[in-house]
Amino acid sequence: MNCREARTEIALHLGHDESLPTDWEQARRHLTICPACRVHYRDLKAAMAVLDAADVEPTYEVRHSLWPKISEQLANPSLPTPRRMWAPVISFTIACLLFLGVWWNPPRDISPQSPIDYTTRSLESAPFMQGLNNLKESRERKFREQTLPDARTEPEDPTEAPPRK
Amino acid sequence: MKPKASLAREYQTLLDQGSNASDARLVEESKRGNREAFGELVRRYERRLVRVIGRFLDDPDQIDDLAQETFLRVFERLEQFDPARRFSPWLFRIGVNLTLDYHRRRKRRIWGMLFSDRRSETPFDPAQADRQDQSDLQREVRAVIERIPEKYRTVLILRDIENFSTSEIAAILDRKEATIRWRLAEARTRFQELWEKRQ
Repeated sequence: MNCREARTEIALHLGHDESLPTDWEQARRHLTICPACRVHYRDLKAAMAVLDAADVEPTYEVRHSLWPKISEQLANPSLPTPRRMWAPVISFTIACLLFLGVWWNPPRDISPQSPIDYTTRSLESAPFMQGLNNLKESRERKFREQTLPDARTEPEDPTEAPPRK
Repeated sequence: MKPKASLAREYQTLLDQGSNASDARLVEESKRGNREAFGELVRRYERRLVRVIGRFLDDPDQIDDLAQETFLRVFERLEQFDPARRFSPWLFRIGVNLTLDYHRRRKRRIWGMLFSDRRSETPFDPAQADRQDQSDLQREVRAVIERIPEKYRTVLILRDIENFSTSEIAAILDRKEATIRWRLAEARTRFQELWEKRQ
């Protein structure tokens, strides 16, 4: 038996859970020749004593029988089950929060006098973008006039001969 | 580690109240619509079920709710119950699974945050523990158990705290007994390591 097997047997033996008495006998023989496993045995025994000492009484006991509530639930299945009782409360809270959110932040302008087509409206149609486009076009025009003075007379087809002067 | 007297008494009470045969009879009567028969099953197992659930959770209201839901699920699924098998492992399987599902969902709330930072350099002396505040020790142990991975923790709680036998745990968790033994050994070793390293 190696250390790993011996330690499994030690852990089981300390809770009286060994499957066969011979398993513990083999582990016990291993303990006589293995100091590390002897230390492990002592530590594990101490830890299990803690477990035993700590749990004198349960932390919680049922005070009243659950049967009246269960019986009521069985008689009327439409009643919410215990853990689902929170669902309506949570739903109602979320609905209230949504309502308050909309109430405090109404849509800016959705009156019929100034219809806004949100489906086709894009950034391109925004006033500041129109201004930017105009500026860009005028700069391009100025650049072309400065760098390509003959651009206006350039033929569409480069293979075509220039007009005679 | 010897069986706890209170648990042993409770086992005896359960045995006195009715054998597996009478459990099966009550289940059959419940299936036929006899609510009182089901009520008898509830009264027979509610204390034990609530206590088992309470080993995994710390909220009394939630413990009651989960126990109640367990019995409702059991009632809904009575037709699926195999009468050739024992009723109690089936009941506790449903209860433990519901509890673990709930516990996984609210994993963020860990008991471990509440614990003192006492550290013992010497091996534990049970006589010394008697002088300690028992609830402090329970909380500390609980915090250490909480740090053990779920599949080992569940076995440790059911065997070493709730005193189910390994064969009962195998039936509750629907695993082979050999698997339960292996997990139990691993769980005890991990508990020991964490107990020594606790801060």
